[in-house]
Amino acid sequence: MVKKILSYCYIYLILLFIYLPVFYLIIYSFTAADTLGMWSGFDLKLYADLFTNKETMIALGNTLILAVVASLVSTVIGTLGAIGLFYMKKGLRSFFENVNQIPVVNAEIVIAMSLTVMFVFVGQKIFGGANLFSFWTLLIGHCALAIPFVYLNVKPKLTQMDPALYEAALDLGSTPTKAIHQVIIPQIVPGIFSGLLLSFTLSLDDFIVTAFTRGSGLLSGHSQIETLSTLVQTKIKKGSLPPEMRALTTIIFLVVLTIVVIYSLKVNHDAKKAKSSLAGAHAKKRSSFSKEAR
Amino acid sequence: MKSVENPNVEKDAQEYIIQLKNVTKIFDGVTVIDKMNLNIRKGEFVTILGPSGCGKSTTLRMIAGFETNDSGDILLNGKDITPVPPYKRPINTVFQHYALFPNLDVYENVAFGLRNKKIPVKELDKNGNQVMKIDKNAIKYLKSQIKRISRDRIMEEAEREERLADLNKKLDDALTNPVPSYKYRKLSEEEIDDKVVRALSIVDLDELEDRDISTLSGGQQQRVAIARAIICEPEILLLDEPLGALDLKMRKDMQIELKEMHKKLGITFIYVTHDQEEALTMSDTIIVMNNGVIQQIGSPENIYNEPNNAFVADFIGSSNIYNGTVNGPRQVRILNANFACVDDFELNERVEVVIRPEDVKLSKEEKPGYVQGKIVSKVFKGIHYQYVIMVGHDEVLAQTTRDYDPSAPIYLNILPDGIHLMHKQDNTNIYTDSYIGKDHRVYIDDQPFDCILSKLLPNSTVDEDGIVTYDKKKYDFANADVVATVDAHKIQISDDTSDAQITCQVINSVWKGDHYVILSRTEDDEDFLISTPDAYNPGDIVGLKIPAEFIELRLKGDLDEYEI
Repeated sequence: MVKKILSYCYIYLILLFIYLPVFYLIIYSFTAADTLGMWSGFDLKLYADLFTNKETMIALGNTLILAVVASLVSTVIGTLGAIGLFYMKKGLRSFFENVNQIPVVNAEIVIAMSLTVMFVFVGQKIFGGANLFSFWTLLIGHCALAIPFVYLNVKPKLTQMDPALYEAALDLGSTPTKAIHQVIIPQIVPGIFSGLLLSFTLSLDDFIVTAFTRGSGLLSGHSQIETLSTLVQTKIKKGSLPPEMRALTTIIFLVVLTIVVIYSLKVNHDAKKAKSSLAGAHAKKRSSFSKEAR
Repeated sequence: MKSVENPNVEKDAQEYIIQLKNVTKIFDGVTVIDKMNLNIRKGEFVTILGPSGCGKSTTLRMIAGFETNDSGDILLNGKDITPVPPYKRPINTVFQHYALFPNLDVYENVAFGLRNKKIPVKELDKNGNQVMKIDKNAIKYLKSQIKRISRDRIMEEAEREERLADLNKKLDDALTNPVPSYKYRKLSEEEIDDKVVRALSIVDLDELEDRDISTLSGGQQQRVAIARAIICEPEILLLDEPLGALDLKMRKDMQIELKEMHKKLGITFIYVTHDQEEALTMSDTIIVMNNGVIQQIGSPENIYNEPNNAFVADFIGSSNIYNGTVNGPRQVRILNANFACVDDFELNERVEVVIRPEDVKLSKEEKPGYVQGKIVSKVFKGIHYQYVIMVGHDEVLAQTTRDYDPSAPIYLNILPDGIHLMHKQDNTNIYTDSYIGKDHRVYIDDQPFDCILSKLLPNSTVDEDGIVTYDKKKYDFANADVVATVDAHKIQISDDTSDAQITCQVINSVWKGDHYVILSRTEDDEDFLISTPDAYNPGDIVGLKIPAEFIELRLKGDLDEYEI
């Protein structure tokens, strides 16, 4: 009994440790006080400020565009790479798997630095001294960061799958491309989806790679692309954290929370649906044929 | 496009649905299929039988199109299909672990092939005339065939030149002469439904069409796999050990059902298995394979009663195999006695003798023609008893329904038609009752020899502790029964017996032009055939050594038993 209570206490303590700060953040986003920890009465001013502050809105827009594009690109590349590696010869496969592990455990600063050096080098040697830094270098940077994680999310789903499925599809008349669509992708969709989410979050809050590889473009126009993380950094450098950031982070947290809740509800729902499969669906379809015939 | 080849080709094409001609497959420098030739008749139930790693699955995969042969041709109805990808071959496969699509229900799994199927429809212009176009598919086929043959390094230079010239001529032909063009249409939902219902009723699964694959039992999944494969009306159905995952009772039922299904459908079945009983029960023709080479092709009766060599005899059912000598017209000496037999071989020829355990006649009393033995083991097997009887140094396996007292002496005889003689394979020593010891050495005639255990499984590795790793699984072969094979000229023979692995006495020595073939025998009556340039006299005591790399090994029994 005591043991049970203790074990519950343990898990609740950990959850408290994680969620208490978030809870505080949410509470203090509803007060207008400039200094953290001061309560000057309930107020929605921060939210109003947030949406009227052009600088923040541009940064938010940049961040979202970048995160969406980068996560989509890395999910496609990472997934195709995982499928390709899965059907590769053993020796070569384990080589590539190990190579893929390195960026995952590597310090982000190394990735950022090396990308910068590469872009400078390529700009000078190939593009005749042009400055390559732009949205595209930023996108490449974020993809380089996210692709290994997508691979790591998709790979377990492939290993769970029967490798003969692909051959079975070929055997039944699917071309190789069709076989991947019809048979392999449906098997690994959960992995692809979690890879997409992960790469989205990675891009969303990345600072180091962004700071190193960004140039001008996107909503920032001719000036340097600001994302939320670089904006916060610039602000902190100048003074204290702008209070409307509290409102912004609250919104981000709530959006993520909603996505997670919807996703888990959907998974539960699908599992239930699978159990009580649609009995008689095919028979129903069949009876519609006989009606047409009449 | 009539070819000017010999008329036999056309006749063959009518009679045989699939023909393998000099087919060779090499994996990472290892030849797994060596110049294989094979003809399979339309409508036959053919089983390719062999131990794991003998190349039987590779053969099947080449016919299905999942592997491409490095040399040789695979002809379907007389046409080489080597460059044709699997999704264009009129051949379907039932996979070992079914490979059903888990995201689709039973109905959709079965309908899968039909949804990919396209029906050719004649392409007509406005006036209703046939549209003529150059045949793109034929050009694609010819081009990849040209590419394949020009890369083939195994084929004879002259043959390659000739074939390339012929193909180039055909290619020119195809490029200049338009042929009737076809459009393709998909099957309608109603047509699909019609066929799915029929296929499901053939495999008795009408009730389960809405079910999820994961909710089916092994046998039901098996049926879905079969329905899925036969729905496209393939000319050939390939079955890759499809019953391996089922329990014994289910397996027996499915054997009968498959056989009936074969009769009903009338298409050619090519079945791959390592289970000799399954092969004997179901097949019209059995192809026994070992090390990428066909050992024997024949009907089940033929393979069982008249095995070509010791390998086939040993692999098809338990049997007694002895080295014997023909010592009279239709008479052979084995078990230190003379037995009459039906095969007429040359006098004094050394032969291998196969006796099936059920052909050994036992008796409690001494009778003329019977030899005396001693029962060393008696096992009740349900329908019969299985006895192991020692006659001198030879072990005799016998099966009979009669109960004998193991402590009393027993007398045994073999009738002439129970004795099958085989020409001894040249210069190869085959030891069918060897085993792997706890020290991971192979025991031939109870003497230990160093060996390379990874030879038991192709492409496997072995570590210092004798644990064999193959396909990520680990195996410990201690106490495993194996068949050891040693080439006669790989055995080192010398007068010096001090550091020999085994000593024996020279029985005879035959000069074969440039070397002697020496027959030597150990005290326990095991024979070693040695080929050597040096002369030895009968009666000499000699020492033998066999380097580990020359001992070829083959596992008896089921591989899974040794997994750790």
